[in-house]
Amino acid sequence: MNMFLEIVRFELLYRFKRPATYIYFGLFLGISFFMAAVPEVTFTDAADQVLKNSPYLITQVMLIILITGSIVCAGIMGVPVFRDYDHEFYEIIHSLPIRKSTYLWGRFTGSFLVTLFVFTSVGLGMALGFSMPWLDPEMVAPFDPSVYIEAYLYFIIPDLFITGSLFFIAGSYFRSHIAIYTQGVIFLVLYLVSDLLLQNAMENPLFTLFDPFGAEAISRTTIYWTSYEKNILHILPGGLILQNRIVWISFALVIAVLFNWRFSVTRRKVFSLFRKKHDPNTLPVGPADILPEVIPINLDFRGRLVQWWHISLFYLKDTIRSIPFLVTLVCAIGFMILTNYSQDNMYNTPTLPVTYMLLDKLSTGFMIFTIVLLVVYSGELIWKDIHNRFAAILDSSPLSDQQIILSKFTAMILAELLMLVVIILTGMGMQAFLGFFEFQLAVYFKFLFLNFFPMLFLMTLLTFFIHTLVNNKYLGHALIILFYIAQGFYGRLGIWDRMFQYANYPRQGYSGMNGFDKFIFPALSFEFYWLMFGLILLGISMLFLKRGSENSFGMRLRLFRIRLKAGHLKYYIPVAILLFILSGSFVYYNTHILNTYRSKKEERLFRARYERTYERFRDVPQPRVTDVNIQVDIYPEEYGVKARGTYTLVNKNPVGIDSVHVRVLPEFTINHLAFGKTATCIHKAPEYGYYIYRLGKRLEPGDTLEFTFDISCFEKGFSNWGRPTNIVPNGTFFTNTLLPGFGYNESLVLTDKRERRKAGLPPNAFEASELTDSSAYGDNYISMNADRINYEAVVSTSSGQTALTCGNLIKRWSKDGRDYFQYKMNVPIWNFVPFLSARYAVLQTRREGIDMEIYYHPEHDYNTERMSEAMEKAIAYCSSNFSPFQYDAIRIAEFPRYGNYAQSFPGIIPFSEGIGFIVDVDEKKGLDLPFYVTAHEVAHQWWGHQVSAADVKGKLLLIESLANYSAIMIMEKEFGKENAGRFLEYEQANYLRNRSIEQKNEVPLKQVDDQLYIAYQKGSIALYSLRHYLGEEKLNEQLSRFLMDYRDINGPYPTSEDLIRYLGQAIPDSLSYLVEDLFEKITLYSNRLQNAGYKASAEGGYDITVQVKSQKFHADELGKQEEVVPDDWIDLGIYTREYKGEDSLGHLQKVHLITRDTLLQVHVGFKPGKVSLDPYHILIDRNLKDNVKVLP
Amino acid sequence: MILSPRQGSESCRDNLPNRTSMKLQIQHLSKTYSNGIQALKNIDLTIGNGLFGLLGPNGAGKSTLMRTIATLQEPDTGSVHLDELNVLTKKHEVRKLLGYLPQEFGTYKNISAEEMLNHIAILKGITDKKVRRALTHRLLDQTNLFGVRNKKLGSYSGGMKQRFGVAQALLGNPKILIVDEPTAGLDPAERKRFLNMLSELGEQIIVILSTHIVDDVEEICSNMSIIDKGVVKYTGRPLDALETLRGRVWKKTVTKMEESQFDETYRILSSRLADGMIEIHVFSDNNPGVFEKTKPVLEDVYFAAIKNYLPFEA
Repeated sequence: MNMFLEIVRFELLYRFKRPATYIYFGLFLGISFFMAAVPEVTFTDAADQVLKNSPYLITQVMLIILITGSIVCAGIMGVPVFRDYDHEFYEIIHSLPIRKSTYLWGRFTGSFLVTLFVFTSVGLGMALGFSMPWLDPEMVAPFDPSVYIEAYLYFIIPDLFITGSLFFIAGSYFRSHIAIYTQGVIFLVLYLVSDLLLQNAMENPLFTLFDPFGAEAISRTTIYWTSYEKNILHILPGGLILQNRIVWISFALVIAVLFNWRFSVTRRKVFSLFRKKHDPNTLPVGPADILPEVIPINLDFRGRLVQWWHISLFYLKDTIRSIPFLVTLVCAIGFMILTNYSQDNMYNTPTLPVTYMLLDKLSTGFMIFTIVLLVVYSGELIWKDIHNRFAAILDSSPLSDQQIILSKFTAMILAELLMLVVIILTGMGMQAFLGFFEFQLAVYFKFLFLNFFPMLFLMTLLTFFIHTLVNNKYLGHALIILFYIAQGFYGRLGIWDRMFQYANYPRQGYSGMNGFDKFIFPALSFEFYWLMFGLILLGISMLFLKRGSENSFGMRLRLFRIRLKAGHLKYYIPVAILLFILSGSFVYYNTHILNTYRSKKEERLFRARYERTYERFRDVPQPRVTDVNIQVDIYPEEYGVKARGTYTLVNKNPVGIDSVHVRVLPEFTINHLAFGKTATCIHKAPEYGYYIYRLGKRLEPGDTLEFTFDISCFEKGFSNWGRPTNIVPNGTFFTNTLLPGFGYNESLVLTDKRERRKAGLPPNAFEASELTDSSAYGDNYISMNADRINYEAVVSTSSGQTALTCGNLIKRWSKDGRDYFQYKMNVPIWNFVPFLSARYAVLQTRREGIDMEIYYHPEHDYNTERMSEAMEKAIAYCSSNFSPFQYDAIRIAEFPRYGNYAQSFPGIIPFSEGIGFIVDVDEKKGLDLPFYVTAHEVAHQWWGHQVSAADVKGKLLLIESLANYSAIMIMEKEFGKENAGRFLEYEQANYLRNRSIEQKNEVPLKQVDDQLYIAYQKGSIALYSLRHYLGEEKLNEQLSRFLMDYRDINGPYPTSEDLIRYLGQAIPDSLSYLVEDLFEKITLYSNRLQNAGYKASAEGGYDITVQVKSQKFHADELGKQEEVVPDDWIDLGIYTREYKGEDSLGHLQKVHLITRDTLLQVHVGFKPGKVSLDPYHILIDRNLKDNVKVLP
Repeated sequence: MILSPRQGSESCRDNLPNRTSMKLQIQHLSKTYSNGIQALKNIDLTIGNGLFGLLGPNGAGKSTLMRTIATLQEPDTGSVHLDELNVLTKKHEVRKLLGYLPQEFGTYKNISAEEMLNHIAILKGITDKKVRRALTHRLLDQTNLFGVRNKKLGSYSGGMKQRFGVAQALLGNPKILIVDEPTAGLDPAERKRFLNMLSELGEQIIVILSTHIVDDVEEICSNMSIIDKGVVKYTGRPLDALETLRGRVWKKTVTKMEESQFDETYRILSSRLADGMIEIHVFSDNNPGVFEKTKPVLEDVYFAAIKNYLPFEA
């Protein structure tokens, strides 16, 4: 025991004498303090309402720091025994009368205590940070030590024990730094795999066991926690978390026991197990002329090149031959393959393995692993010769400092290129495996070498710089990791300018329609700029290179000066600086002069000034547009557009109008703006595009005014953000929001709560009008100063492209190498129209007098038939259930995946290539995404275009919820109720997940503002549950009546109250609670089947007994739940023995629940196989899995 | 394939001026480490062709001196010149002329001897593939490693590794060879052969051998320095040193008890156990008493120098 304590003491003494221990402590103290004390540091998935130091966030943030700080844990825990061997101290240890286990666990305990000491700084730093006076007291809860203690007890200490003991064991057993790293990589992989598998909230929660840190178990446990719960609930072990802790601690202990048994003090190294003793060659050493004749030595430029290349290859070989490199590579490949299977974006519908989609999906995986390899092996290469004790020979050889750095650098770059080759091969292998043979090698290369490789190159330069400068391997690694973390905070700290973010350049996704095209140039410009900076760093690295045994910084500084004077670097560095300045000027010219750049603060002031100046005009009466007749000329290759035309304006207000407020986007050049009657411009603010015209003659109520305009916009250079994506050589898509409009524009208003507070603006002025505010009923949700308009347009584009907008194609002609298309709408439409242009292929059908067309990228014909069918089905369903279709044609037009959505305009649906055209539909496994999206958008032709909603809260219920409901019904007809039930299950998970990260307040459906998860997910659940309670026919009848009543009005527009009134008329008294539960309150259930059994009945059939536990809650806006007494009718389904498939639901009845626990008796005529409470998932429940009991 | 050691080399050697002697001149060299240890104190040395032994106890500053000559360390003051070449500022030029076998060196464990030697040959600027191959094979042959050239260096024994060290130091055309404590860990026969080899090399180039083993120097060095605590105590030919001591070394066999008394009264050079008794060597101009005159050995010179008994002129 004494010996044990002595060893522990020795270890502590050793560690506490070393500056590294305090550096680590300080580093973590600093990071934790920073995370806590800087108000700008926020966590994306935590809502504003979640206090900065809520138990939830404290635990999470501590864990994040711990995980990223694993390298330090490895640095302390991995080396103690290894160190003894490295310093050849083991022979002494070996000769002392110490038992092996005393020695090992003494070292372990000592190091573990040091590790604990280092990591106490995390809690300390955070507690300190949160008590800083500048933090908004509303955002910080009072200090509660129990949160920190729990975090340490349940997470930090166990995690350090688990990872630390494994690091210790690996380090002691393999005695190599790289084995410790490999283990770190394996931890990372386990964490990532677990994270990946759990991205789908419905995935098996046991995957949390993969993660040694327990972070995934926490995420999974808290996935549906609301803001309120995050603020008050402590994360305690239990369930998944407890399982995780037990499994990993046991694992660590088992390994420890095995290690204790297998470890041998005398064994030199595990890798020399197979070492053969060679004959110690006793032949005489060579004769007199041992010195060979003069050897030609070639150190001229050519010779140096040969040296550089050979040495690079030598280092490369040594790097890629190492087992950990291969292990990491294999991990990366495995991870990439896994990514492809689990990361399916919407409703588990996989995308076809088209090269760019595949690369997008895989990029997380290969980014992480390549960066890990980069960080680890750059450091390793720099330190390699010193670790191998070869440095003296290398350093005394006639190799220049430049050659040493360059060779190692080249080796690293070659290793990275090798990684890229592996990525390409993996990608192509996966494509081939999936039976997809459209390999696009050019896309692989462009993607990797434009977006990815420059970053690797630049980061390698930085890594070399840091390592040569700080001259301490672990500290070097820590600093580089810190740099990566810091990158994540640029935005939060207000550093938006890429010119100040090392290695940052605009990255633009590849589009199947448009390629990379115009995004290449800005990327290359930034890349060149940063490359020059990186080369300066490289030059400095060469000057600071440690060569020989001089370690002190002062001496290295002296060498720095001598080297600078002596070598070529005195020319090289100034040239690099010059090029850096030149390229910087070029980038600056583009991003700051040709284009506007505003810092976060400037942007805030700019927008605040807009609001302060113009908000007062919000309610100034303006004329409304009634007719639009325009010509839009699209110049796809020149990234430009010209627009001119006439709006007819009518004063629909009860008062006369003196002045018109015109808005033209600041990017546009105004060639001409005029009103039919004389008008003078009395206010001009080009930066906001706000112009006020005083009319020569007052526009009296009912009077008409002509507004003519001619504007144009061509992109100049590139901006800090790259380039806009709306006008591109193939796949232009923009809307008439780019054209002149009238009145105050809310899209410029600051919406972030904190930003508004900083700007001194009232918190909620930007929100939609209250539901009860009838003054707002005159506008609908897409009004743009108009009710229904007559629309006519000529759209032109370059030859070979098809230009589209709303309306029927009247005429088409070519002139001067351009193609012209004239469209005219046969019925009035809302004033919101798209313009598209691309080289399209067309799929045309005509049903029931309606032209149905799909304009698509010729290569994207995978799902067009399916979409066409969905269009037809949707039109048929809506026409027969709600009202007839209003236009002559309906079109879908594909646009590039710069946006991943589809949007319904009158008779035309721009549809992103990313969400339907290239998905791989397998109805048996997942949902038919193109079918669903098409149905949803087509349904908007009714919900949105036939009837609109007043521009107040709750409007999205009338638009999105009804469209989504219609889509589900169309799918139910096509694929069956079970499929719809599965869809609802996804909708529930999405709803619950999104409400837990709600940044504002959650509101009931009736009040929904811009929260899409309420409008889409909750809306479809609510309406689909009504469909089950009332029956499809009855519900649709009410919807149809509502629609017909509001169909042709030009305001005032209906609100959610109006819809609910219509629905209420169909709801029987016994179900009257539904209106409140579905629309007016936030209602959740916790339904569970406690027990279920059955026995054969005497009179034939079977008697089933079910013990039901049902809790019903109403939640407030922060998610605080209150249990209410139920008085609900809930579906109980009994399945037959083969409980798969729709027909197996043999019995369905509604049961009336009025207490929490209910014992139900059901009699069925068939042998039951499964009981399910709420089988169609129409009640929102955090755990749907326990609603089902499979019968024996 | 393997250049014959005999062929060609003879004819070459005759007309090559760079095989002729160079001179290494060290002046006023001092070095103090940041921890306060003064490793070199005003060292002055001139070293020409031949095997030069640098003798001193551990921590005497030998390695610091060697590293400084090998361009790996910066002195605080003083200068080192190789003929006209300033070693401290023209490092790159010096490195072209240098063969260095560090006291402690390792290699890439997973790389074979031949690959490693090939790598070092490239480091030295031998870029012609054929020449390099011939040279490495020849050196491997001469250091008797040819048969094991494909083995990983990690599996080499101490002696093999040391021979590999020599082979690598001889790559290129070294005109000055620095070997730092090379004999540690070699068995007696191996050590013997090793020293012979160095001695042969010393006929052609400057060879500086640092060691704390007196025998190493005694057997083969044409010149030597004794260095202790950073100070050169003696420089000269070993034979001359022995000559200086002739008649001034006395020996006596004593008991252990007596030894401690003698220690206070006499200038003891060394003592060694023999048959349970202790034979002590004492330094004195005349017989200090009941002593017996003995023929001085280099070890006596070493201790006399270190213990400052003699004003050896440096």
